[in-house]
Amino acid sequence: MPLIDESQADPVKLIDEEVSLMPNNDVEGTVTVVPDRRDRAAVTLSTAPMDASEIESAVTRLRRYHLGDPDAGKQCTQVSDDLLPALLDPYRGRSGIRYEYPLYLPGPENPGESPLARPLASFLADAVATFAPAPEGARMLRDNLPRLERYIDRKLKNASNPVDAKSLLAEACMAVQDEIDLDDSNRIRLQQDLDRLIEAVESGSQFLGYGPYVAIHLLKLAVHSHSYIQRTQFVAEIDERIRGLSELLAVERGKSVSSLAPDALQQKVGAASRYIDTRAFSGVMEHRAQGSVNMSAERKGRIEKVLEILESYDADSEEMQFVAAKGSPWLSGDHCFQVTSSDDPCASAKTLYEEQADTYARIFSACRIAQLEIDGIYESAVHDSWFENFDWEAFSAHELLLIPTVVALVTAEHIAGDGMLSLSRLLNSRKPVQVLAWVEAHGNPGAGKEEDQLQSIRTELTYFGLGQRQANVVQSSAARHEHLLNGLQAALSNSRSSLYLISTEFTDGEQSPLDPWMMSSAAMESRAHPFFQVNRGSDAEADAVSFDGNTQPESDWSVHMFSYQDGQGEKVEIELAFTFADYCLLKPSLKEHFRLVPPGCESEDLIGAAAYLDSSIEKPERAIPFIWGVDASGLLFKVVVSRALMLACRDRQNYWRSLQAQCGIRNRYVEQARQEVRAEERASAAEEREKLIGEYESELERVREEANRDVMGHLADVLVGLDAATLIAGAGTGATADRAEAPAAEVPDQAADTAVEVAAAEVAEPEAAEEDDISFDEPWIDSILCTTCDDCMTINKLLFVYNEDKQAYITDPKLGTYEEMVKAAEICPARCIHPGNPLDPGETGLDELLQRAEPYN
Amino acid sequence: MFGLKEDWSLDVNERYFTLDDYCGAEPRWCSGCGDPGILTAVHKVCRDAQLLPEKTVAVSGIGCSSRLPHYMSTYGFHGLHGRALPVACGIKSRRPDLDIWVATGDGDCFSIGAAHWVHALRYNMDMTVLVFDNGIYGLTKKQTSPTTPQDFPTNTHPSGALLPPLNPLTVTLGVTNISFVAQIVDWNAPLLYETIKAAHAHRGMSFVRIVQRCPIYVESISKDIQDDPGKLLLLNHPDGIHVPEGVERLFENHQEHDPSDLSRARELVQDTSRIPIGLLYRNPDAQRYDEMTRIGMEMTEQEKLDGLNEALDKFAI
Repeated sequence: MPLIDESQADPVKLIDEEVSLMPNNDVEGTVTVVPDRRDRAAVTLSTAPMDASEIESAVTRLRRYHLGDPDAGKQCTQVSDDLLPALLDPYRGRSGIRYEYPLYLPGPENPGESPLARPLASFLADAVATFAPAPEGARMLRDNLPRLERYIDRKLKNASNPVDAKSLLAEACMAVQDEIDLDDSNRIRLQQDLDRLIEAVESGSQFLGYGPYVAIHLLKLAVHSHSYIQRTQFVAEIDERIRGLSELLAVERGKSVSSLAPDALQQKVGAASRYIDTRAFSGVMEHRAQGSVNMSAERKGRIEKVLEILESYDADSEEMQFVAAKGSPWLSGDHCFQVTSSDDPCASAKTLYEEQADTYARIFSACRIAQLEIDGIYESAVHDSWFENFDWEAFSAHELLLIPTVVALVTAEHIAGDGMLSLSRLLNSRKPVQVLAWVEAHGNPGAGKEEDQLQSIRTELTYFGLGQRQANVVQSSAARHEHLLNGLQAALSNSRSSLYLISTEFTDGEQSPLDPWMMSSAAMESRAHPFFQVNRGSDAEADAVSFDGNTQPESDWSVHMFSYQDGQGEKVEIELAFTFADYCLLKPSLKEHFRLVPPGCESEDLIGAAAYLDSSIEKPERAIPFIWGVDASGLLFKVVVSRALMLACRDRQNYWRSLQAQCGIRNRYVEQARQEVRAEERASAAEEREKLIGEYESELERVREEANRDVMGHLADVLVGLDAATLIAGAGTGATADRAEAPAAEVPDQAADTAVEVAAAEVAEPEAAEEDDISFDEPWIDSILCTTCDDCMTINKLLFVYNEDKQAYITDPKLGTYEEMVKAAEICPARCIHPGNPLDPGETGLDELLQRAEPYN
Repeated sequence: MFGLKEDWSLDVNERYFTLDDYCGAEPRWCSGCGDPGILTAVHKVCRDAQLLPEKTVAVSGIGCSSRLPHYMSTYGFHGLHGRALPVACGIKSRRPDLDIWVATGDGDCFSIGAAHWVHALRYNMDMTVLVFDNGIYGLTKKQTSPTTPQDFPTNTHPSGALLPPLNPLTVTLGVTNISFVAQIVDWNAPLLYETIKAAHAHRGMSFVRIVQRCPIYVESISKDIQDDPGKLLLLNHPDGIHVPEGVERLFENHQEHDPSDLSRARELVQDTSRIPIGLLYRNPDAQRYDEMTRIGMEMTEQEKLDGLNEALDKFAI
């Protein structure tokens, strides 16, 4: 501790006149708090006095700006660079936002692990739990896991490739030790836990940060998990075939005269040949051809050819091959995968796949022929023609997985422009080629390079993919790794061509105000890049589409609570929708579509963007749409949105609604079916109710009649002379005996009650017995109850020690006597010491000690 | 929102403190004393809140309890008898940035320090006050304290304490502007920790009376309570002290008590047949004197002089 001089007898620094208590900002090592909205004043509405005429002229200017008057735009206040959509203000300037990256990727030998990738925070917590399952175990390590997380996160910021998990974690552990600078004993204790943590990391596993190529790495992971086992099995299969064919040829060779030559014999006998004179051995053998039937030359030639093909198979060939457009960033980027360049990546990918398929067709046919030959059932008349025409369409599902995955890396602009025809041909080819397209969520991929991105209706590539009918389509974001991985795995499982439309928000040249992960999340949240999947592997068309992963999928926009202080300092809480316009406010290139409303300018014509887009507003021609923005100082502004951007918002809203309808949300037919089902259910319920009421009433009537009959019968028995004395006795002391003899049916309630009691007793007894039986041979301390009174320590300091929380536990029962254990239990004020049974049966006075120990066990 | 979970912030403190970082000298309390348990709970709360040791002050008066600052590796002030609270209030008024812990005892607080006790409660300055109430003057070897049970023999009253004991909680709950009053026994370590943790988290004066064992001089007092859990009444409420799993079963008697209900809290402490354990009263909106005394602290010396001159100028003839 910096404050205390440990060499002093009493390390407490007492405050006296010589010690200043005035605030000292120079105190070494004070906590660094990152600027955080939570630590500053609440967001405050910007206000200023404005009279009616000022308001009127401001509103007129804003309306003219909204409608597209450039002069009015110049007169209105532009938005500052630090203005963020109100809902994103709390994340401004955060140095550490914990999201699902970095990810932990298991080692290549363990690809089937589920889930395929795990967020670092949960991986670390789970890894600690493997060696310290108790919540308080490895306390210092648990406390400092966020430090490890932060170190790894910073190391992997915008990293292009995954890195080895074990070495990076070891580096992080060293850094954390240096950073927190513990005393020696605590440093050793922490290091032991850190070592165990590093040990828990699987060899070959990796950490993957949120970088520009993250989607490709996740695709590689999905492909590897998909094909690794098949590839491993296939290598074993090929080895088996090679062995089988070699044996066939060996048998054939054994039939020849030359196989009896000394050299051949030496080879046959193998290592033991040194004990044999093979020349003499050969001399005594009859030199003539063996066997009755020789293999035909045709068959022998076929087997040799197949063997050659199988032996040429490269088990270490690449699992994936990438093709990208010339000049694209994937060709020059700092990443760990090989990319081929092409003018037309989709066409080239298709060709490459066909070439791969031809190569593998030879291998697969060789493999099949080998099996037929080994089984001795190859028939030229039947099989020759089949194998001559053997191509990729004859591949089994298992074989399709073995072909290296071919991926075309493209931009949305490319496939919406020049590359559209090739993409269409590729998606319709039924060949399982993957197309990974990067989408800029705010832009229009169909617009020309020089064209205004908001000018025309957006080209939706999801719909283009849907139109190809047989292709899988996954629109997702690398920011949601689980959604993306699920989509990738589903698409890879059905061996069809797939189009992946991915947003990462790593944009060239544009400085975004937030972390790319946050930007990508905002794109999804604002409906700029909604999640959508079409998986053609599903049997039913309705099951093929999925809308999972979107926020509030049933609404037009996602809505969240937002609070601020108004001009009077009162807290105001409102619901705010996060619209496409809010997302566009994050894009510096779109700042011209926004103007500030002057503080204090209140008008009924200013309408929130979400309400504006709702067609039910009155006087839409007068309405001026706005969104809320907050600047770096925490001031809240209304921000008017241009008409062009609002039209783009409406376009996104329409697109969103069409996706909703595809997935059964706000779908007219679904709603109709739902109403019909409800009506049917109501009718059926009413019918059932009527039926039950009828049954109940008839049963009630029957019971009443039976009861009346029984009562009258009993009354008649009494009246005709039953012994009154017996009746009285039965009601009193003899009741138990009578009840025991009486048929159970006559006293159903009592019998039932008794049965329940007995059953309950039967259930309770074992539990009670079990509880009574609980005892521990080993002594133990319920440490959490320990009051740190030192009493047990005075009895035996080796036996009783304190844990990290200064609460006692038993180190090793062998370090003390049973008598000490019992004494400690007796003296313990918290009564948390349980002495158990003696370890040494020869200890003196055990009978008495056991008696004393009994209340504490 | 935006895919972020509740624990979305990855900001961590620059420094990290272990339990040892808050431990000062080796405690010299008697064997079996309840004080070490309280000290450990305080250390744990400091560690879990990662308090900066140089921004933490432990203040005490005189008595066994008041040795606590020596056992804290923070700033400390071992003051005069009965004066722990005025010293603590003084520190808080000039150094509102410091985290203040007060350790005092039944003699120190309820007898010689009674006047300060009452007014400090009313001032409601932000600090955690722990009263180690063992019902005896232990440090000076068994003299009658305000909370010694009647008829209990002491060195000052060998034939037994003459008067019924003071009920410190009826007094506390009778003071204006109190904001946090809790009671706990020292031998229930998990609940003691939770109580001190809640007291520390409260903004304002948190007053915790800890029924504490003194096995040397008044063993029978606490032993009777320990041996008969029926003498304790556990107060439950969602706004009360968090009761850790398994602790509840250590109490025979439970009662729901809303800590915002002052009248009910007074009734509970007036009934001396059972000792209520838990949070008796909390008012987070009670006024804090330290918020008033800190006004103007950011002013420079010149600004203060100017202000003073301006005020004095009004009296110029």
